[in-house]
Amino acid sequence: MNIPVDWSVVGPSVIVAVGALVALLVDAFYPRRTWLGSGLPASAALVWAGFELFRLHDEIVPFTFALTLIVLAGTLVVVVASNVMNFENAMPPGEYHFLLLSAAAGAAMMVAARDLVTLVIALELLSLPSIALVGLRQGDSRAIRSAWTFFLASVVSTAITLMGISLLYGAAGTLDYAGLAAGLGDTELPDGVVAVAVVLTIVGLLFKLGAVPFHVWIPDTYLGAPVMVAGFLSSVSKAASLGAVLTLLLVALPTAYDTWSPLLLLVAAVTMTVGNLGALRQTNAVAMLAWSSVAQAGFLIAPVAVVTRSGPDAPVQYLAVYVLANLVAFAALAVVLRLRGSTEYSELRGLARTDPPTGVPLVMAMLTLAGFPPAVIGLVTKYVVIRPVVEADHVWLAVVMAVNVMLGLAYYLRFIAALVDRPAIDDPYRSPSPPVSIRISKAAVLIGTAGLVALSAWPDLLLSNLP
Amino acid sequence: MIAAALLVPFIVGLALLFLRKRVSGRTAASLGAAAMAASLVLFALVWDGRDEIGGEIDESWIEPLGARLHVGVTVVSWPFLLMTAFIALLCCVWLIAEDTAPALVGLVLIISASALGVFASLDLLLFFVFFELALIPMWFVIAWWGDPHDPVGRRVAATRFLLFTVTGSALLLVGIVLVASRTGSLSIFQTESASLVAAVLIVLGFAVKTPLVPLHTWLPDAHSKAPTVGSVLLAAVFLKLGTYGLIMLGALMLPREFVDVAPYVAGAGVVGIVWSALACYAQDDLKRMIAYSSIGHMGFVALAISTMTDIGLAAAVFGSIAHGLVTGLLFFLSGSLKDRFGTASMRAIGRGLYARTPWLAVAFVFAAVASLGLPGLAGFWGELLSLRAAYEVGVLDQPYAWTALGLAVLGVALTTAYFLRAIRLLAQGEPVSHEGDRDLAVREAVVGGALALAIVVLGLAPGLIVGLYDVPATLNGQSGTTYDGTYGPVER
Amino acid sequence: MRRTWSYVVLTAALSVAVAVWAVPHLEGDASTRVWVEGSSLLGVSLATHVDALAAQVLLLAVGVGLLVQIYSTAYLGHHARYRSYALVIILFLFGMIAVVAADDLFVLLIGWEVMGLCSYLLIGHEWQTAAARSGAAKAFLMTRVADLGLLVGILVIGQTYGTYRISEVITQEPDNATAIGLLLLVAVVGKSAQFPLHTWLPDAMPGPTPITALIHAATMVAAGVYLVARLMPIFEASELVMTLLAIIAAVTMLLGALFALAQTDLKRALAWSTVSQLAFMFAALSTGDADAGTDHLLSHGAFKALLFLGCGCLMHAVGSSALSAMGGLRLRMPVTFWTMSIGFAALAGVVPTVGFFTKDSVLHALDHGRHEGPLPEGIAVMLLGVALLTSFVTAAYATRLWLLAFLAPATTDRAGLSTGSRSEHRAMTGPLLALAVASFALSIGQPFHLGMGVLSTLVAAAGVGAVLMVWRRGHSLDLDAPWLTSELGLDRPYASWIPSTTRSSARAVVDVDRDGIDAYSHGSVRVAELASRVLALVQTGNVQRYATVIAAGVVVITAAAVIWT
Repeated sequence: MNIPVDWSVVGPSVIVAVGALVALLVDAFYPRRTWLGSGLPASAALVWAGFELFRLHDEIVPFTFALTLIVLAGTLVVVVASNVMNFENAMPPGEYHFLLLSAAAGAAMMVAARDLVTLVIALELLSLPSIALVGLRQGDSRAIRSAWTFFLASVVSTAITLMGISLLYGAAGTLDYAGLAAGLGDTELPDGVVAVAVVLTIVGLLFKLGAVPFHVWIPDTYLGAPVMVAGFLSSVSKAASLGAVLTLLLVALPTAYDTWSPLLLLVAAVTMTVGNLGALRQTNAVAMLAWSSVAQAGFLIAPVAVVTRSGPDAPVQYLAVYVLANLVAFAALAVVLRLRGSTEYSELRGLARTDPPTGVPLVMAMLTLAGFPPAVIGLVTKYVVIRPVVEADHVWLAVVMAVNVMLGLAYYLRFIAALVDRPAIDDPYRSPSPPVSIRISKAAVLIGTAGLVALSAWPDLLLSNLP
Repeated sequence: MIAAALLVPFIVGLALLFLRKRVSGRTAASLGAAAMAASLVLFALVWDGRDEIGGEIDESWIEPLGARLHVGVTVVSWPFLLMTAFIALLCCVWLIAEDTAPALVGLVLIISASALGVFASLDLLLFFVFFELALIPMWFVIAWWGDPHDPVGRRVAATRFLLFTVTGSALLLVGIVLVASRTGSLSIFQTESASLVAAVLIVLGFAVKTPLVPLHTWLPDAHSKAPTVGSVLLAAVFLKLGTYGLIMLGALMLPREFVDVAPYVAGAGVVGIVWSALACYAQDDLKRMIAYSSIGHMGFVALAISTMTDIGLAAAVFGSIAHGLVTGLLFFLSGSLKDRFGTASMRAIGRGLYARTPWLAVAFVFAAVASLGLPGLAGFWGELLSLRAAYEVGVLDQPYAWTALGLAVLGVALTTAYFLRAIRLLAQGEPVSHEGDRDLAVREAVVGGALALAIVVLGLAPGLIVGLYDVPATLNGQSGTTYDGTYGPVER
Repeated sequence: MRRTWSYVVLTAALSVAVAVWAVPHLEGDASTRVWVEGSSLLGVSLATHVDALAAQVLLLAVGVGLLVQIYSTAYLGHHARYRSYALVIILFLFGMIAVVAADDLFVLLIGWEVMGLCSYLLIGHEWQTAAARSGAAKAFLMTRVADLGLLVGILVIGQTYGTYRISEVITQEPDNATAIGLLLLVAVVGKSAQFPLHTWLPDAMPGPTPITALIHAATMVAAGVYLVARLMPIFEASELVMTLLAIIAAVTMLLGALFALAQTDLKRALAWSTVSQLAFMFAALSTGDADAGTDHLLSHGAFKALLFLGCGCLMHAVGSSALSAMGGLRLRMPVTFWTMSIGFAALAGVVPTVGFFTKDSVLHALDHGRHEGPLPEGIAVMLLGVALLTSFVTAAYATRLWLLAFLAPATTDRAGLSTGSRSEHRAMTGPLLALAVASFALSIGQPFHLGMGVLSTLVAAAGVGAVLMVWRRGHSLDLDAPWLTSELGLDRPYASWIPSTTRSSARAVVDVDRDGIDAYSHGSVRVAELASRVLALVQTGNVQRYATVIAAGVVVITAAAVIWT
C-alpha cells in the first residue's frame, strides 16, 4: 500500500497543525492566560494556511478548494470570536487553541483526502480534539457528560466507518478513491456486500453530520459545550464531514449511485423534518440552533444525494452560507451568554433594540437560515439546493423541503420576534463599555454579518465564485 | 424611472424604521404618503402602451442561475401596480394621526414596495424574492399593531397567516425551480412548456395566497386581528399577489399545463363563493365578515382565470382591482368603527349608525352596496365579466362551466343577503348613543372619498381597465377564444 | 323651507331637460344615439334609444317624480333626513331614465338596479321601525335575486346576437328566445311583483307614501312591463314564455284584487291593487299587444300615483293608514276626497276616466288574442275570463275603499282635525289636482272599442253596485275570509323557510369551516407538537438510549440498502 503524500492535499492542514503547536508553546512559555497570546499565532496560522491554499489554487479541484476555504475561514471566525472567553478562568486558552487548530487541521485534511486511510486519520484528528474541546471547561460536570456522549458517538461512528472501509477494500482491492471507482465497477463480490460496504462507510460520516437517526448526540453535546465549540462543531466539523461525504461519493463511489442516492434522499427528508420538529419547542437559543443544525444537515444532504448528476456546486454553496450564518449566530450567542449568563429567549427579549451589534446580526443569521428576504442569500441558496433535487426528478423531496422551509420559519421567527420585541422595562445588562475581548468577538460577529449582507445584495459574488 | 418608483418607498420605509424615535407619527405618515404618491405617479408615467414593457430594466443579477434583475410594466401588471400604490398611499394618509407608530408606517411602506416589486418583476426568482419579502413585515404589523384587546390572538393569527402563506410560497418555489429546470429560463415570459407538476405546484402556492377554498382558513383570523392598515393591505394587496400570480404565472406563463388545472381552480373558486357567503351570513365580527367576503370575491376572479379567455383575463384583472378598492374601503371603515368602539362586533357597536355617525354609516352602506355588486359601481363589472367568462366556457366543459355559473349567481344572491343583514345590524335600527359616536375625521373622509370616487369611476367606465385587453377582431359577446399569449412580448 | 325647495328646483330642471329631450319623439320619431362607444371586448356602450313609448314613459316618470318631490316638501319637509330622501329620489329618477332610454342592455341593467337600491333606501327611510327595515331588505333581496335572471339573460342575449344593443337585437331574427325569455321573465316577475315573487310589494308599504306613489306604483314596478314591451320580438317568438306570462298574469291579477278586497289597511290594499293592475298589463303583453299594455302602464301610473298621494294626505291627517282610523273625511278633506274619487273611478274603470279606456284596450287585446297572437286559444280564453272577473272585483274593492275612507262614520273623535281645506297643505293638494286632471286628460285620443266598452262598464257597474248594495243594507264591508286576509300564506317561504334555511346552513358552514376544514392546519400543528415531544423523549441524556437508537438506525439503513440493491 503506497500512500503518496501530496503537498497540495496536506499543505494547509500541516500549516494549521503547526499553528496549533505554536499556540500551545506560546501559552506554555508565556502562561498569562490571555486569549490573544495563543490566539494570535493561531489566527496567523489560519491566515497563512489560507494564503497557501490560494497559492495552490490551480492544483486543487475547485470544490475541494472551496471546502478547505470554508473550513479555514470558519475556524478563523471561531478563533476570533472565542476571545469572549477571555478572563474565564475555567478555560485554558493555550489548550483551547491547540485543540481547536488540531481539529481544524483534521477538518481541512478530511475534505482534501483522496484515499480512505487519509480520511480515517483526518476523521480521528478532527474527532479527538473536538471531544476534548467539548469537555475542556474545568469543573463543569455537564461539559464532561456532553463530552462523554460525544465520545461514544464518535467511537461508534468511527468503528462503523472502519468496518465499511474494510469491506470496500475487500471489494475493490484499493483504498485510493480513483481506484475504488474503477474497482467497484468490476468487483466479483455480490451487490449486497458492496451495498453494505458503501452504506456503512457513509453512515460513519453521517454521524458527524448529525443526520437522523444519528443526531441524538447533537443537542446534548451542543448544550454542554462552550458556545463557540458548539459553533465549531455545527459549522466547521459539519463542513468537513459533508465535504468528505461529497468527495467520497463523487470521486470514489459514483458507480454505487443507485445504492446511496435513494438512501440519502430518504435520510435528507427525515433529517430535515426531525430537526425542524425538534427545534419547534425549544426556548433556548443554543438548543434551537442545535436542532436547527440537524435540519440544515438535511438540506445539505439533499443535493448530495444527487451529486453525481448535478455536481458539487449546490451543496458547497449552501454549506458556505450555512457556515457563515451559523457562526454569526453562535458568536453572537457567545457574547450574549458572557454578558447575560443565559441564552433563553426570555433573557434575549429586545436584544436587537438594547444591543444592536449582537441582536441585529442574530436576526440576520436567523433570516438567512430560514431562507427569507431580506436575507436574499438564504433564499437563493434554498433555490440552489432545491434545483438539483428537482432536476433529478425527485419532486417529492422538493415538496418535503418546501414544507420544512415553513416548519423552519416557525421557530426562527419565534426567536426573531423575541429579539426585536420591546425589551423588558428595566434591562439590567446595559453595560456601558464592555471589555476589549468582547469587542473583538463582536467585531467578528459584525464582519460575518457584513458578509451576509453583502452576499444578499449581490448573490452573484458567492454563486459565480464558489467553487 | 421604475427603479425610482420601487426604491423610493423602500428607502423611505427603511429610514422610518431606523429613525422611528426621531420622527413623530404624523410626520412619518406624511412622508410615507409623499413617497407612495411619488411612486404612484412614476408608475402611471412609466406606461408605454399595451404591447410594450414600460420602463424595462434588464440587468444581470445571479449569472449561474440565469436570474436577472428584470423589471417592467406590462399590460397585466400595470393596473395592479397603480392600485397597490394608490391603496398604500391611502394607508399612509390614514395613518396621519398622533398615535401612529412611525415604525408601522415604515413597515407599511416596505410591504407595499415589496408588493409593487412582485407586480413589476419579470424574472421568476426576483418575483419570488419580493413575494417573500413582504411576509415578515406583515407578521409584525399583525402581531404587534393588531387587535389591542387580544395580544395572544393577534400573534396566533399572524403566525397562522405566515405559516400558511410560507407553505404556499415554498411550493411555489419548487414550481419555479421545476419550470426553470425544464425550460432553462427564469423569465416570466416562457415559451416552452414545463410540466403539469410545475403548474400544480404554482397554482397551489398562489391558491393559499388568493385564497381558494379549502386553503382559506388563515384569512379570517389574520384580517380580523390585523390593524386597519394591515387588513387593508392584506385584502387589497396581498390577495392580489395570489390572483396576479394565477394570471401571470399560471394562465399566461404555462397555458398548456394550466388547462388541466383550470377545472379545479374554477371549482374551488365557485365553491368558495357560496361557502364564504354562507359563512358571512353567520358572522358577528364585521372584519371577519369582510374577510370571508373577500374569499367570495376571489372566487369570482379564480373562476374568470380558469376559463383562460380574453374576457376572463379582463374579468380577473378588473375583479382584483375592484375588490382592492371596495374591500379596502370596507376595511378602512370597519377600522374606523373599531377605533371608536373598541370592537368590530356588530352587536356591540349597536344599531342606528345612520343617526349616530351619519357620514360613516353612509360610507359603509356605499361600500357594502359596491361590494355586493350593484351595477354602476366597480364591484359589479368584475363579477359580471367573470360570469360572462363562465358563460362563454373557455377551456372548461360547458356543463361544468354553466354549473359554476349557477353557483356563482347563487353566491351573488347570498352576498346581497349578508350585506343587507350587516346594514340592518349597523346602520339601521333604533339608535342607542355610545360614547364612541364620532363621525368621520378628516383623514378618514379623505381616504373614504378617494376610494368611493375610484369605485364610481371604475363602475361607470369599466373600459378604463377592460379596454387594455381589447381584442379587435372578435365580435362582442362571442369572444370565446382562449388565450393565445399575445400579452407581453412572448418572443423573448 | 328654501332648503326643501332647492331639491324641487333640481328635480324640475331634470324634468324639463328630459321633457325637452322626450317631447319631440312623442309622435313616433325614434332616435338612437351612441354617446360613448365601448371597447369591443367589453361591448358595452353608452347608447340611448328614444321612441314614442320611451318618450311617454320618460314623461310619466319625471312628471310623477316632480309632483312627488313637490308633495314631499309638505309631507316630509320637516323631517331631519329630508335631504338624503330628496337626493335619493333624484338618483332614482336617473335610474328610471336610464332604464327607459337605454339602448344598451347594460345601461338598462345599471338603471334597473339603481332603482332597486333607491327603492331599498327609501322604503327603509324610517329605519328606526322594524317593519321598514324588514320590508326594505325583503324588497331589495327579492328583486335583486330576480334581477340575476336579467343579468344572465343579458349575457345570453350578447352571446346569441353578438351585441348588447336593444335596437340591434330586436331587428335580428329571434333566436334562443325561450331561454332568454325565461331568464328575463324572472327579473320582470320580481321587479313588477308578480306571482310568485309578489309578496315584497305590500311589505314595502312602510316606506313614505310619496315614495310608494312614485316607485311602487307609477314607475319602478312598471319597468318590468316596459322591458317586456321593449323586447317584445324576443318574447313573442316563444309560445312557452308567453303562455307562462299569461298564466302568471291571470293568477296575479285575481289574487291581487281579492287580497285588496279583504284588506283593512288602505295603503296595503292599494299595494295589492297595484300588483293586480300590473298583472293586467302583463296580460295584454302576453297576447303580443305591447301598446295596450303600455297604455295601461301610463294611465295606471297617473291614477295610482294619485291614489297613493291621496292616501298620503289621509295618513298625514289621521296618522295611520288603517281604514278603521278613517271614515267621515269627505267634508274635512274635500280636495283629497274629490281627487281620490276620480282616482278610484279610474281604478274601477268608469267612463270617461283614462282607466276606463286603457282597461278597455287591454280587454280588447285579450279578446283579440283568442284568435291570433302567441297564446294558445284555451289560455287566451281563460285569461279573458279572469280579466273580466278581476274587473268586477276591482270595481268592488275600489268602491269599498272609497266608502270606508270617506263616507263611513268616523270611528274616532276628530276634534284635533280642522275642517275644510286647512288640513290640506297646498303643496300636497296641488299634485293631487294635477294628477286628477291627467286622469281625464290622458283619455284624449285613446282608442275605444264599443262592444268591449259596454261589457266592461257592465261588469264594473256590477262590482260597484254589489258593494253599494251591501253598504246600503248596513252590512259591514269587511270580508270574513281569513284565508284572504292571511294572503294564502304565500309569503311563508320568503318570510320563514328561506331565511331559516339560510341561517342554519350558515351556522353549519361556520362550524364546518372552523372544525372541519381547518382541521388540517390544527391537526398538523398538533402532530408537529406531538412529534416534537416524542423527539424530546429520546433526548434524556441517557447515552445507552442514544446507542440503542443509533444501532437501530444503522441496522435499518443497512438492511434497506441491501434490499434495495
